Amino acid sequence: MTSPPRIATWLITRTVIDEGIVGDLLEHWQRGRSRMWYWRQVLSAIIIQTHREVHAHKAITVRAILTGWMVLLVLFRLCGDLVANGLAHQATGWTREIGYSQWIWPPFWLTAWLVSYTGFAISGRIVARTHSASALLAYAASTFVVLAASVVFFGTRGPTPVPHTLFYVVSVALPYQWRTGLIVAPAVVVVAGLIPQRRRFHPSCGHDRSRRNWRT
Amino acid sequence: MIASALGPDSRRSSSLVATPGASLSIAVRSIFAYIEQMRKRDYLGQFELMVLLAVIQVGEGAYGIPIADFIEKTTEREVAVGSIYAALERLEDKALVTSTLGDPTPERGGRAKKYFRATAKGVREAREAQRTLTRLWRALPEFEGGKA
Repeated sequence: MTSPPRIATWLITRTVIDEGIVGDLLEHWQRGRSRMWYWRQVLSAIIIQTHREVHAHKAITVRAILTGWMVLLVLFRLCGDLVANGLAHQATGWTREIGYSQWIWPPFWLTAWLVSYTGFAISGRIVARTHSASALLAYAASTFVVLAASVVFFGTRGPTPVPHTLFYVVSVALPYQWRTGLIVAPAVVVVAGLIPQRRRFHPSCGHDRSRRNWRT
Repeated sequence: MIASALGPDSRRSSSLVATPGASLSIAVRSIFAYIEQMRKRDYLGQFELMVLLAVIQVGEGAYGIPIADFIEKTTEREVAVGSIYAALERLEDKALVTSTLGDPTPERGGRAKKYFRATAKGVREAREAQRTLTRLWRALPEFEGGKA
């Protein structure tokens, strides 16, 4: 018997509170269910639980989303340019002005890309530390919505200057970054938020006490 | 109607208000409380009823897998394990089922089984739902050519 898809199992054990669901899915897998079936069940369980938790705790969800965006905007405002231009300068010796005037953009794209995803990862980590997994998923969903809206907004208006504070947020969804951010940014938020959580499973009560629960 | 639905406390608080702003605030809160109360008294949804009947049918040892198997066999459709647990959680909130944890087993990755059992209230609700649905079906005209 092969082991169940590891990423799917990792994802569900860190996001779904009810140990009964995780155990049932593993038992189903032992009975010979397909990988497709397993993935479908994992994703549906995560979506159903997130929907229920968000619906039951709207204020906490709003707080989680605001926390994430505040962290992102403050980080990018305070040290976005400093880090991105500093790294590009260290690597190439060019300043941003020289790079832009001579159309040598790639080092600046790369450092902007790096700064953006680092910011998304830090915000995901902070939201996960202060809220539940469902709130983290809600924040990740909000990043997808904002980036998708920015693709529509900036994509339909032609060359439009991006507001300075928002540059590192939306840059990953702009054409010169190949719009990778639409999928990668929410994924980075989720992975960065879930990786550091160490699980301490208590078989006696069936609950994972290491995770924050809405009800506690 | 709203005051009677909310009980004596709401009537007492309504009689104490003096300013129009406060009475408006109480009226808004009363409406939301009434809506919430109506929502809580909601009838069993179709899927909730299916899950409740599955719990009753499976009897002792009803946990996620036998419940899912029963529903899949009866409906001939795949069901999401997550949706079964969501329905069970709602049923538990309404005190129609209770749950207990079993021992962790290796094939479940060390996770315990969560056993469900219908309460007396749950069995009553299921019977009531059956009676209501039967009455509704009887009220329908005969089906002819697949149309009512």
